[in-house]
Amino acid sequence: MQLLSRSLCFLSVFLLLSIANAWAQRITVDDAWIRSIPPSATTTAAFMIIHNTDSDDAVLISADCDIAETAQIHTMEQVGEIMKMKEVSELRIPANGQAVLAPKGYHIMLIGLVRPIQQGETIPLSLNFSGRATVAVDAVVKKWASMAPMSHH
Amino acid sequence: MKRNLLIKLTLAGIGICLLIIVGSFFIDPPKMTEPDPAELFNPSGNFTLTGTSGEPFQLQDLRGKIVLLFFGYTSCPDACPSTLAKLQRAFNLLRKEQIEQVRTVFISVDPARDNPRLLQEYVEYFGVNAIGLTGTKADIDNVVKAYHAHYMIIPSQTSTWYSINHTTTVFLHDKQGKVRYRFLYEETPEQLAEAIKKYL
Repeated sequence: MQLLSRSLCFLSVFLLLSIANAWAQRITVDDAWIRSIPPSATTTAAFMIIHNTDSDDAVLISADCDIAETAQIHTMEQVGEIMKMKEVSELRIPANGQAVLAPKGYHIMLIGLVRPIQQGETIPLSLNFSGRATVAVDAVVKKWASMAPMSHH
Repeated sequence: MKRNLLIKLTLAGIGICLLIIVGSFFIDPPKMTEPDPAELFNPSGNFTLTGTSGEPFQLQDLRGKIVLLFFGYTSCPDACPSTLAKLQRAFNLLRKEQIEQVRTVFISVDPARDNPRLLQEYVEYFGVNAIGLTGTKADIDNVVKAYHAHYMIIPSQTSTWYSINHTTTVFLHDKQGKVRYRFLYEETPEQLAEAIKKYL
């Protein structure tokens, strides 16, 4: 009897953990990278694709990075010959959809880097969502040229 | 008799038409007058700012070189590094002796944060024969105005950091310092390389 209740207890904990895990994995991140910058520069941007396999929208409300004083969600827009950048309070990832953070669009600004970053190193980031678990992301520092998309006509 | 006149008139009509058609080949068609960029953008072909060692810099110091000039700031997260990346790709399409004849001029619109050391390190990092320029806000503003460029400081809602909206166009100057081509943000490195070759 005792064995049965122990087993049941173990099983329910296991089930709960699995459910929590599955729930957390509804938000996944691909291709996270940070633009490499000269050693004395202290501002850069992180780019990635955030997937949401949940049937509800996910709302990214902030991000954290240990090596930056501040991380902010920004968007860019080319208006005529001027590039306009704007801080946004949230980024919505539609249900069963994705949000692409890429040059010329949304990105996570890393402001006030506390140390130089090296090309090829991995920098951990945390993405904070409204009403959801924080998602940990490993972003690779890449040379600007390798990922900067070029327009083709 | 009447019929004869009709034939003569018809022939004369055809003759006049032919004359007009043939004649039109010799007369220049009315041109859509495109404004000459050399007269519109920094027509003086010169300005004075400060180089990264603190020395005065004049655009005319670069006579004999093709100059690719644009405005930016070293904390720029996207537009400036993307533009510098494109310039590098364009440079990769040129031969070594062609690259020797090209200089990139990066004018900081953020004199408050871009100190000379940072500016120098930033432009060198991208390896496109670049010279970083700064100056007083008034001097920078005059140059910005001469190129009909714009910039605006955008404060952050949540921190003391600010971003800057700015013109991303690269101004290509020929060896006499005249603006000959404006490289827009959506244009490709191939287009820029072609434009550079044209003025070498």
